[in-house]
Amino acid sequence: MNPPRRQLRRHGSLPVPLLGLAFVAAAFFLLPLVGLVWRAPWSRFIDLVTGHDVRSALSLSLQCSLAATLLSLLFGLPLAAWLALGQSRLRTSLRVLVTLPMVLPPVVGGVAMLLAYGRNGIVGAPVDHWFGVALPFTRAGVILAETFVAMPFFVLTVEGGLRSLDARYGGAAATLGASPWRVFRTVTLPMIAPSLKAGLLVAWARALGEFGATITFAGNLAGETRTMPLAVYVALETSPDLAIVSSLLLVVIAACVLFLLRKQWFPSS
Amino acid sequence: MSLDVDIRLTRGELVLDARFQVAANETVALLGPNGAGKTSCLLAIAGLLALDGGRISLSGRVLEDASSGFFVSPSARHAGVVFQDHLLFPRLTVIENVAYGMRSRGRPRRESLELAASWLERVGIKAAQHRSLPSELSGGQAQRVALARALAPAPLMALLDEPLAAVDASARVDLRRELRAHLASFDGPRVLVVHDLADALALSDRIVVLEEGRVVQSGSIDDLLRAPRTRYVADLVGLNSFEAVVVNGVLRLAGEVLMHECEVEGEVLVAVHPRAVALSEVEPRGPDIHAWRAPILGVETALEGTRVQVGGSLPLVAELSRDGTRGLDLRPGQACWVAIDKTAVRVAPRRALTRGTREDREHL
Repeated sequence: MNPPRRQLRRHGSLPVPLLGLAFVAAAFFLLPLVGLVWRAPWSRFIDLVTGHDVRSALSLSLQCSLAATLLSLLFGLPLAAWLALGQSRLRTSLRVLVTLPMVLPPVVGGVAMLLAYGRNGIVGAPVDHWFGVALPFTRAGVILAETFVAMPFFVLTVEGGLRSLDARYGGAAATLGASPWRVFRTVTLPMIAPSLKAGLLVAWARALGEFGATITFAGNLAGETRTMPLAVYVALETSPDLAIVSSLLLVVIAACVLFLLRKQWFPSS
Repeated sequence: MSLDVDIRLTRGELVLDARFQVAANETVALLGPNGAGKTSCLLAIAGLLALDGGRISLSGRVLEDASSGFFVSPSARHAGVVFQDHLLFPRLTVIENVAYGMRSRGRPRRESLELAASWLERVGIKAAQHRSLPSELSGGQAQRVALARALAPAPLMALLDEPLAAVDASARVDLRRELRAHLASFDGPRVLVVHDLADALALSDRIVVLEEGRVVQSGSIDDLLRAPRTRYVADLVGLNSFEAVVVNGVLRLAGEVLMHECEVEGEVLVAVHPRAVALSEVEPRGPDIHAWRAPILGVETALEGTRVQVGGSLPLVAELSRDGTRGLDLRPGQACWVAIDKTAVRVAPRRALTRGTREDREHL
């Protein structure tokens, strides 16, 4: 006996008022994209995209966001491992600290970074004095600001992967003579590869779109610290067409990121 | 070359306090109900669970001594462990899994892979599957690979946790026979966790029974059959059992004297083989017969005969041959005479358990 199909379908469907609201929400996200595509100056698209302003901002954005992603990997992976596997009681406080930049307005993050790593900051001043290195309003400053905002996404994603890992595999590797470093390299890392990949992509996307902390900490110097989002913002006042084209470029990049994350984020499709 | 184990540790509900020895070339089966601490024992020997007390040594070399805090790391214990559900590394191929131990101990890659291939051939994994991932293997194949991975680095002892649990019934007989051969060709002490008596019989030289974290009995199957010391062991080997007390040589069961000159004193376990129980309509008489009336609770027809469950003050199971049931009214609810042959009664000192979960074992 087959279950009555119509009944099943009715159970799965939403009441009409909710369906209407859901439709409005979906349209809310869709219409801005439509607006971008609608108003884009398609005839001048290639010229604008290959123009000096876009190219310089895009290459700066790519370089800085990739550097920020690498920094997140280098320092974030050990941090995630410690958060997930460590024994210390400090872990909860540390997790709060790492999560903070995710909920903090990035501008506030930028201000706080200025106070710490700025020319007169508690760390920045001695560094400037002894080594003559100043971070704010430099490319390094952009990377630092982006890392500040992006690394938490990487750390929390990877920590989740490490937590769901069956610790018994590490034990099995140990009985086979593997040192803790070898266990981490040959067993743990391959097993958390999906969350590593997701963490890297999310962190990179976040770094690429970073605006508030960057403009506060690194300023808005064309060719030096003006990344794509900053360029879009500036262009909106001087050349709206340029802003639209740059925005579309960022939409395409974001779409690519989502495509690469499809297995982690959209497992059903 | 022997493994000396004295494990004391607490893990959640479980309080493990177990001592046993495994000689070189001996396979010991750890047998016991769920939660008895079998796996914990194995993990402690492998160094994956720290001891609270006691000491583990292999061929006189101390691996762990809780009193001094001395501890040899799992990677330096040279234990070949087959884990429950195998724990093959999911991102490594079959052959890389088997080569892993040798690579970890610094053997060159090519040599390790060659050795791994020969081990896989030995356990019957075809070359076509050497590059497969563990997820592509059947339960039996995964078990074989796990065994190869454990034994390939030439460990000093073999520890196998429920090696046949994840294998379906059809592959079980073959795999058991193969496992027996592999264990026989391994030189060191071998410890095997099983929960099935058939596996223990087929694979081990000696059985160590764990209950509630303690070793309650150890010996060959004959030893267990001759004098089971807990109700679990009696159940395991298929004997009826009763807890009783012997005072001045007098053994009473349900208030009645069963024996006058008992050799053991104090708390005992009385075991009776179901075949030594007879049922009849009229009261049986004889010098060695102990008989009482009891109601029949259930009847079950088996290949060898009929198993009848009787209730009353001494609930037990009688196994009757086909002839033995003639002229008997075996419907549940009917009463009949139950007789046991006193010469077939086995009495052994009982191992008292700290915490009783006797209800679990009440049913026969």
